[in-house]
Amino acid sequence: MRSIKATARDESTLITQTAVVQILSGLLVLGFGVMVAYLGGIGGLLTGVVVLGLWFVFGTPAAIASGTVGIGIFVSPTGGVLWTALAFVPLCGLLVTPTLTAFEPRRFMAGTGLLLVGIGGASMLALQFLPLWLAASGILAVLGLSGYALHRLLLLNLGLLTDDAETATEYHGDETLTTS
Amino acid sequence: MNPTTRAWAVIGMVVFLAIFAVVLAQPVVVVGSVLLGVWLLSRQYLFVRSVSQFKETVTVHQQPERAVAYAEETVAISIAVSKEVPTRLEGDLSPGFPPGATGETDRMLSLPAGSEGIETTVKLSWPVAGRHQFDKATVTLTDGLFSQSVPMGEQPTMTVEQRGPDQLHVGQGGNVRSIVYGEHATDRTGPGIEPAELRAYVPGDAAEQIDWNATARLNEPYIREFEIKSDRQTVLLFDHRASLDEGPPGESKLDYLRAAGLAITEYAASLDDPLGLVTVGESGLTRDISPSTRADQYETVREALLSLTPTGVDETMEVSLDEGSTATHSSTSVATKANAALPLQERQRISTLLAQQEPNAFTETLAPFFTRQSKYIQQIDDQPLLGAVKAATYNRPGHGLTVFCTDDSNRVELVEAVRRATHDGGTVLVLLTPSALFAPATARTAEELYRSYLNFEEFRQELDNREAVTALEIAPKERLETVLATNQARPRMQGGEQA
Repeated sequence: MRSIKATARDESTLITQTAVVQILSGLLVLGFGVMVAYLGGIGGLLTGVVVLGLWFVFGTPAAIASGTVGIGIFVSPTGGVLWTALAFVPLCGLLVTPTLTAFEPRRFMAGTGLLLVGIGGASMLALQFLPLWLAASGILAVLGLSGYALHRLLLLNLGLLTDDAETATEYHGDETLTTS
Repeated sequence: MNPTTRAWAVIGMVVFLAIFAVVLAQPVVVVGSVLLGVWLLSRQYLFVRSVSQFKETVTVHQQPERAVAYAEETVAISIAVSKEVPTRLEGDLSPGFPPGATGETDRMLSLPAGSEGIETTVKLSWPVAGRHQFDKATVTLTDGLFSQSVPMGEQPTMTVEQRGPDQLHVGQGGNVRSIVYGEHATDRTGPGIEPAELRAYVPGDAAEQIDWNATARLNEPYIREFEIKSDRQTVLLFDHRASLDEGPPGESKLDYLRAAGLAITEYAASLDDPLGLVTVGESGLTRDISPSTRADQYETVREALLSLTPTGVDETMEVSLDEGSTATHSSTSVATKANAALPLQERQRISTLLAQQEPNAFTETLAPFFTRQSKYIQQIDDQPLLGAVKAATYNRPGHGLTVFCTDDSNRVELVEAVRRATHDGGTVLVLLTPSALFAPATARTAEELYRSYLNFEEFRQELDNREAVTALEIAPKERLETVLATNQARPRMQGGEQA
């Protein structure tokens, strides 16, 4: 694969990083920094600066990852559930903002929202009722399966799926097994 | 769909956060995993939509400037990508050039995001004759996070006719010889166009036979005799069993023999000689075209030669059930194994048993595995080449020419087949490909290769020394020269007459 034009700052060639999106995203990260600085003191402030820098250099995924670690270390132990949840709001905003200028924006926005609500809701339930290691494993499994399902959907759309039925054994109900 | 390095980095972060949360017993960190997972899934969904739309709105063309060309002739292939709407995906296009093509075969086209289409021309040539089908072009698309290869476009077929004599080596013991073919003198006089002799008029000669120039010059009536030219019935006996598939793609034994066969077809057509074709597969005859001088006969033979593929290698084989009708037959490797493992009689017995049973899913499934051999127009389990000679000479006695196009894999069978072909006074031309020159370049030393070639040459000479038999080697010139060059004191082997 030759080099691609999309840089680390860009999400993908399918999402145009317009000035509006950049400013909105920047404001969200800045808001996140202020919030964690307020809730986590010096550590929170440091987290805010690191997240802002990582977002600027590496883009959204690095900002979300570092922000989450910061929340886990500096906000969650002292801030309580409500403030912790509020600290995640700017990070969720980072997920949604680029949908404004993406290819098929409405469909993309709906898809992102649906995934966020569906997988997010299921994760909250899992964290509530299951041991942490099991919930984490379950979430990874769901994400992996979802990714695989999208991969198969693409192959189906492109007509590249091999017909597994060719070697499947069918039961015809008359106790005769045939291989078709 | 393949994730790029960036996508793998995000996947790594998702897993890291989940493990980090468990190790530090901080459930809130798992939320980061979820957010990153959703981020990646939403981008993946976007990519799926874009690629699907690309497939629907983009057209890829790969078309040679003409469908027929000569070997080594340069042909321009036009490659075009047209988009109904510009897409944001970037990509590369790799044309599906057939194996065996030479030239700019590794040419790739860049498809920048936002472009409305591109068009270019690639120049290719084919070293050997045959029918070469393009694969679909492969478009590899990426958005920076994922990439996907999509086969697109039509699959045109390029027909390449025989190569020039400087590329295809036809000879004996490394020396170049021409295929013995031409007009056939009968040493008898009669109607014709070739002047034979001048003789004095005798009562009873027709007035139109008088040569008035000679009569005026010699002052008495003279008759001009002409030499009778006869048509020579030629049957091409073409072996396309699995052993003929040896060699690089597009330059196998079969490809070289095909080039020679096409040359003979062309000669026969130019002389209006009756020409027939019998093709021999693993288990019998796959085609039998009786000799004829019909207008479409030479084209039929040519088409049949161009469409030949080795049996037992390509599971889809086109065979002729009878003259003028063809059927495409597909079988599975299981069927091939079943057919190879059981003798013909046993297969026929099982086939008959299955036919006698009341139809059910079991018999319907099994039947094709045992009836496959019936696709051969004539089944010959043992020594099919010999059987082919019998078929070729049956009801066609006379002094025709039988041209064997085969290799040296089945020597005993070939000798017996040649003996049978010359039995009724016919002449035989054997076009042999040396297996030594087509075997994969493994650990064999140059000396071993040379010895293998000598062994082949001894066999060819043995055939050539037989009465009414001419045996020629058909080989890639470069490879043959390389093998012969390994022995500095290259022996001058017995040669034949040049026609």
